[in-house]
Amino acid sequence: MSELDQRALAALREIGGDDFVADLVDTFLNEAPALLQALHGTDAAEVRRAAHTLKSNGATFGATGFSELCRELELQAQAGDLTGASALVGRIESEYAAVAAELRR
Amino acid sequence: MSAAAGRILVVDDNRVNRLLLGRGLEEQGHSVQFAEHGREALDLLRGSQFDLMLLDVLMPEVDGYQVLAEMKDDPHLRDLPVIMTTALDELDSVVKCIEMGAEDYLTKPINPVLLRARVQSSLEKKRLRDQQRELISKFATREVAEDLLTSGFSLGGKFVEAAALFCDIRSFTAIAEAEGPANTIELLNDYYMLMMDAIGHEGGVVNQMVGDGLMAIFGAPSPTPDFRLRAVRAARQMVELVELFDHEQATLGKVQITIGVGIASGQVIAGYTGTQQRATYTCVGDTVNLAARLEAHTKVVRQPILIDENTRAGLNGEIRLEPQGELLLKGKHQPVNVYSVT
Repeated sequence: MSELDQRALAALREIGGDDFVADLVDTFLNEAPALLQALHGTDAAEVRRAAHTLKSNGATFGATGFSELCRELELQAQAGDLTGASALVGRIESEYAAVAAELRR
Repeated sequence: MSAAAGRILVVDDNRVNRLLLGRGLEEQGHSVQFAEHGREALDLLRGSQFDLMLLDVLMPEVDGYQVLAEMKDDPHLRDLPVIMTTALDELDSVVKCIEMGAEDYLTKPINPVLLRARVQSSLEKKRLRDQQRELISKFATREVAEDLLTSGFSLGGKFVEAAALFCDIRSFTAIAEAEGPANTIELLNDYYMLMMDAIGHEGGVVNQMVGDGLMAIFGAPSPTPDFRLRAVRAARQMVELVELFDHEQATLGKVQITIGVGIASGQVIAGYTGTQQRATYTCVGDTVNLAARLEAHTKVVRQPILIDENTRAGLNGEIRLEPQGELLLKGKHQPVNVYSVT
């Protein structure tokens, strides 16, 4: 099953064409590892910001499930409570792997 | 699209968003610059001209709220329209941003059709505001114009302490008849330019120009404690400028003019009259009527500048005056003391 909402990708192609979308995907994939790493941090504000960016990028590429998980973590970090967050971070990472694999295709 | 193109600053700490917004805006014909956080955005705004900013809320160091707060305190940035770019689940923050002065918002991921619509609407509003500012600046100094734009165009009136100044050219009708249309208009334009310079220099606002007559207000809409002294200094400057102008006219073999100026101070009713589209700052009341009478009286006593007792009281002896007797005004039982400025 596809991880990506094809309508989101079609909207991106409409804005800038195939080459532009390829650039955009590269940018996301290049920046994501550092952001995912930041999710393991203990500073709630930093975790919130990283989760926020991943949520936003996930939504941009139509990775709805991934974006939702990031949003959950963002809200948790915003409330300043990171207890039990590592399980959520684990789910985000595995979801990311699936999304990234599909985007690379 | 080029007619509606704007210079747009995109502020977002997320590189994917910057690329996406930048591309979308460039496709629509705009020129785009980028900032990665609020501090960089403020530096860019202060260094160059933009028509619109697209601003993210959550950013490291200086966030969107802080950018809006700093812009509000900076008269040069206050009027730049800002569209917030935000996630759909952050609409609470949008409300706060709009309260802080942002004009509109777009949710991310950005929809190109909405992007076009919101950007065009903001640019159009900016163009209208710029036109309005230009119109105001024709009637007031830049400081006063800024002040008017900040305080908004409330059409409500209020009582203010101010000095009203009236000025006209002696025997102007005869001059106009002798000089013909082209020379008359040229003369009026020179005259207005000099008078408005003198008035603007002392913080006054010219609020009426009819033929060769003009009316100016000091102390309103921006209150100044020394408005009476400023009005008198402006009047002296006006008379001096006309003397210089006459000297130049004489060497060119052109017509020379003399002016009369009347100033009265006190409570006036001030406010904007007109409609939202076209409003002028108006002052009315006894003080204004007295200033007009004093101006007319300059011809009688053959003095260039006449002021009333209230104006004299605000000069702290800084200006040399000569008493010119009393003037009885229609509908008033007590005559007013009149002084000429020498």
